[in-house]
Amino acid sequence: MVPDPRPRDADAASRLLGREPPEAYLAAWQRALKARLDEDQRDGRFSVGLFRLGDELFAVPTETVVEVHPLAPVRSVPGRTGEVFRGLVSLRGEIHLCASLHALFRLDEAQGVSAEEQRLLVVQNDGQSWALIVDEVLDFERFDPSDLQDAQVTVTKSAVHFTNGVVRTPAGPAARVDPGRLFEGLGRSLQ
Amino acid sequence: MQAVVFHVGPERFAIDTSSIAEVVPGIPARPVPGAPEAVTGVIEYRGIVVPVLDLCRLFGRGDCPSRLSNRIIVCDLQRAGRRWGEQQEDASYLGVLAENVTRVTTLDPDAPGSHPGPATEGFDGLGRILRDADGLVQLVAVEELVPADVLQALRLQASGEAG
Repeated sequence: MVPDPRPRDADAASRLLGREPPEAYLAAWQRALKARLDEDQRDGRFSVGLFRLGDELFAVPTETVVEVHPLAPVRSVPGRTGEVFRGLVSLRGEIHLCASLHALFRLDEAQGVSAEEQRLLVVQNDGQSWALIVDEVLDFERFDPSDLQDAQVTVTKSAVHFTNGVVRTPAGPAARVDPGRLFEGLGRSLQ
Repeated sequence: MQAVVFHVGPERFAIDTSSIAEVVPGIPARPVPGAPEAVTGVIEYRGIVVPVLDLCRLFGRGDCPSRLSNRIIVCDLQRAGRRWGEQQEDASYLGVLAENVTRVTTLDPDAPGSHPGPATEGFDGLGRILRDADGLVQLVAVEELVPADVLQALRLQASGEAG
């Protein structure tokens, strides 16, 4: 007998592709294809990741977010670790600088937040990356420019410096973090 | 030439990628009563109503079996100088439902040893038969493939000035 030259993976793939398509899969595609392509890219639409510090919601531009991790042990750096700069964390073999956003934004430490809910939000800007300790990461969503308001009123004063507006979200108003100012503030904590 | 390879039954066919707008999953089409048999219906595609042609039915093999690998190859007939209806704004997309649309390959239509394809009755768009590593594959020119009566039923017009 002539051996089948195809690799076993190809067989598995063709078995998978020969199955009946799940209804939900087709329905989801049907919905997705209905929309015009440009609806997603209308002028000024922006995407943010929503996270929580204590009772306050914040939004960070999605393009600056690299990944979200469960809280990992933070190794302090003698002589450097302070209130904002907490030390170094190793995430999948990569060492990241780690900072407390609570401290940077001068918010009170949240009461009753367990370490299980806390996340490390890895953000990147201009080739620098930081792992930020936040109390919860909610979602990534798109918003219209009309959902964006001026910051001043609702955001804690000390955090206003790091934000450039407030996004109206289904979970409540979220202060939009300005990556430039955020990284400037984080950088200062190292000096 | 880059071509999307698909199956109708066990046979392999290929469409030149330059006439393809997008390849999308085989979502269910809304049937249109009285439409030609090979037309399964219409789908809503990015704000445009696009008729879908079932190649299995067109080639007389019954309905395309429902498979995860089914795809609707959305072809832009405007690139071949055709459009639906008489209005300039009318779109010119035709969805082609086929099985096992899993591969894009590079084919050389002028490869030595290929065959121009035997004359076929009813289909003009079936072109050269080529060989590649997986066997034989026949080129399909979508804008010519669809029989004249089906095209007429779909109100396909030449998009030139006279159209």
